[in-house]
Amino acid sequence: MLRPGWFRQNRLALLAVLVLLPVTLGIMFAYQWLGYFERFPSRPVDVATGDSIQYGRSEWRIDSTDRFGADSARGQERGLPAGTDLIVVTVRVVPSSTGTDKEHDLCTVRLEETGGEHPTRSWANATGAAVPLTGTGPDLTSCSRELRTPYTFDAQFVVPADTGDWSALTLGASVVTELPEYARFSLD
Amino acid sequence: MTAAVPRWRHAANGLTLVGILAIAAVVLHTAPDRELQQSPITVTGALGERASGRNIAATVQSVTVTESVTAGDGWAGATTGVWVVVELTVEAVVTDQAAVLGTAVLRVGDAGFSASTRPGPATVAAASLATGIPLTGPLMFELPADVAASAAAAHATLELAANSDPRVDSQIVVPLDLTADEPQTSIDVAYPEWGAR
Repeated sequence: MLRPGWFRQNRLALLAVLVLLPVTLGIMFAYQWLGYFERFPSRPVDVATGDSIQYGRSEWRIDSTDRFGADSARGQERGLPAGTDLIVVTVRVVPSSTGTDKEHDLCTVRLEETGGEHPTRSWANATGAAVPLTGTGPDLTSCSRELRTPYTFDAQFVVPADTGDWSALTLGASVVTELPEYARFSLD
Repeated sequence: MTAAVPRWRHAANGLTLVGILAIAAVVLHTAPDRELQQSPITVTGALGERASGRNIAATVQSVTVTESVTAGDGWAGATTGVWVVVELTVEAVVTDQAAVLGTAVLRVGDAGFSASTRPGPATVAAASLATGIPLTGPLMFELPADVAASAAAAHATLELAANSDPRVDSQIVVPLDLTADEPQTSIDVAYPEWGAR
């Protein structure tokens, strides 16, 4: 069909197609997807139980993790729905002593469950989540921009009672200036 | 001077061109259009059975057509038509981030009716969803009385999605027969409640 030497005559054009096609697809992929993943916490920095990490303008560590069932006294005081637990994670933050309020971190914390029979599931801090809590909660439930001395806050999560039974629980803490990296703490 | 191109090669080139055009035509006419590419991913459910999509799971427990309804907080809205009250349980599956029951549409024939937000928090319409924690409550739809009694009402569908724009995401579709039972004069419905029942 083809004249002898056709490939040789057109080798430069064919080579250009072979190079430019994947390069074009790669650029399109990078433009469409990498930028997308940069906008939210998508790159975890794992922190083992009890360890601390310098992240953003603060040092972070998990002090303790507590759990209350809906039938417990604490669960009833907080008005937990049937079949749910309240997980309270106490996070210790050592902020940098320098910088203005605006330069300090407002953070987002989420509880994540991986492995087990469910797909990866996550929950927002109960302060901004759907399920309302009653009773007296902790004074500080997220990061502070004003505090310059070490402090702790209690992130609260209302979760189904089977959460973490056969899977690992982690706490993700992110600040906007460090995205897409976020600190991912293993919980007991 | 180059040798003349034989006739069979002209014919072969022509056939190749026709073949390429035929393949292109098939691809062009069978490729999904933009509407289909972006359409919701339908999960068909059934009354009383749990249906689960990417980030929404729901169980429709009952459907009632009634002339008036009183919500769990005492709200009672007048309507010139009828109320279709759907009792359901709904939850987010993987994340509560931006998970809102933003799509709750009852389709009867070609007409679509969004769940009423007039009762406010006494319905689960536009309620925020929690991951793995069921929220049980009513959806209320206002329909013209003749639509609720039409032949198409026997083949109505309820569409549910965890956002107001269900394109390229799961949308639960539950077939409902609005004519199966006699319309009620009035009913009371419970206030939405979190947790397993």
